[in-house]
Amino acid sequence: MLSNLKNKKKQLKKRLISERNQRMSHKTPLAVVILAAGKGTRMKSPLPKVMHTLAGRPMISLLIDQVKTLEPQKIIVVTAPDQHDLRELVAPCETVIQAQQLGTGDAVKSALPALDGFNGNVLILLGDEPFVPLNVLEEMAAHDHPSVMAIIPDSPYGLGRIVTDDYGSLDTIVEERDCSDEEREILVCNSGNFCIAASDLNRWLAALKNDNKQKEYYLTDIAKIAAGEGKKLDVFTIPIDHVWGVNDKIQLAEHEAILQKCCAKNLCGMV
Amino acid sequence: MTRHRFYFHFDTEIAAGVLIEPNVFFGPGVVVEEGVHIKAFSHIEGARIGKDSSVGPFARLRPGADVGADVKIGNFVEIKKSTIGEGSKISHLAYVGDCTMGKDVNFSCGAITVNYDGYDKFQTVIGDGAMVGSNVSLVAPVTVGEGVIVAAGSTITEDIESDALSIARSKAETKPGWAKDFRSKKKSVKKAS
Repeated sequence: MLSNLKNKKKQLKKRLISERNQRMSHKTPLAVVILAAGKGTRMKSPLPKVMHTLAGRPMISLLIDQVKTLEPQKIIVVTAPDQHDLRELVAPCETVIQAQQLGTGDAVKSALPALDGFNGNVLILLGDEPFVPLNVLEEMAAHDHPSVMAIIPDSPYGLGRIVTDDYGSLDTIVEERDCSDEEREILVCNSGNFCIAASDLNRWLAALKNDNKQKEYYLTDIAKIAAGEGKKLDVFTIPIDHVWGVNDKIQLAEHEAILQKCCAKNLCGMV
Repeated sequence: MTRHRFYFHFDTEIAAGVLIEPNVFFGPGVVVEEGVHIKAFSHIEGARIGKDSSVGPFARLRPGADVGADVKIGNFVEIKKSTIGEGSKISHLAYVGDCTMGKDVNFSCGAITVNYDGYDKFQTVIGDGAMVGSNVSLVAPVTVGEGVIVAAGSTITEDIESDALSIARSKAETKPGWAKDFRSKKKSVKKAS
């Protein structure tokens, strides 16, 4: 009886592994762009924001190590001109320089030369949020439509809201300051993580405009551009129970506390 | 926000059956083997702690501390770039730096390795089964042979052969009644003035 069960389990395991291998072999090529050029003024530290450490490791390294498990063809880190230490730290990952801080759209644009000739999906991540759920990223990377990761945080304060159509696809992303009272009630927020086919990305970035108060190119505007082409982004929504992103030392400490708990659980063999 | 009772570095490795008391800090590169007990308020970085050893409370293991099995590192002991052999005891108030310590050594309270002359670091070697008495200074470079007993309070500046006793301090002398006489003399002088 017992050996019968064991055999069944073995067969199931074998099947699951072969299915996974099949999926992997048909996988669309993946490139990852990590936006890391932010000065992190609110960190009140001369250290680039993404080089602040969590459990003793720079948060950019934590993110890169996680992303590597997705087996991307390349990882490109977008840096500011003076961030030599950061470029040294993330080597051998490819780095590009964003000459001026003209918004997230501009940051991704500066990575395009490094993506020249690449034909596959481009996963765009933020260097200041190392706690991205890998399983969702994996799904997004394997998805054959452009997508955005949406989060439902405890408090949506300060985050862009995700406005969807009746079918759950993305209509627009509205920054909090531009929200109507109705939109402000939306609890589904933009995580800042996108996965877009390289060809679409090229075209959509070229169509970005900086006709806003800040005179910046917002990556979030691609939602409208895509919708205009009838190629709406799919939304992968996850609830999260911590603050999203590290912008100041309090948020860094909150991330540290979460990671310490993870370390302790890990060491206790609970994960 | 939760306050940390421990601080783990991302690469901290801890085996099964380890007990860690509150307020222990782990820096980079720490490996803790099975059955180890780390007592409260210890600070550990770049160190290996061998099977069934106990460390702390208030111990500091600095980079390069390689502690063997069944070792006892007690309170206010600092260890740097040293190998501590199986079964050795460094129970209280000691500094061990740039040292190769054998098995079953007793490194008593207040004993230290004098490893630095302001320019260079020097090695101390202690053989198996040696007993280094309290408040001993081992001025490196120096070798203490196997089974040696170093008398308390000694300052050792030369190598000691195996199984020898080494005393390097002035001989104690007791003068009966001297203190009493001294006091009465002092008191009479004070009265007269």
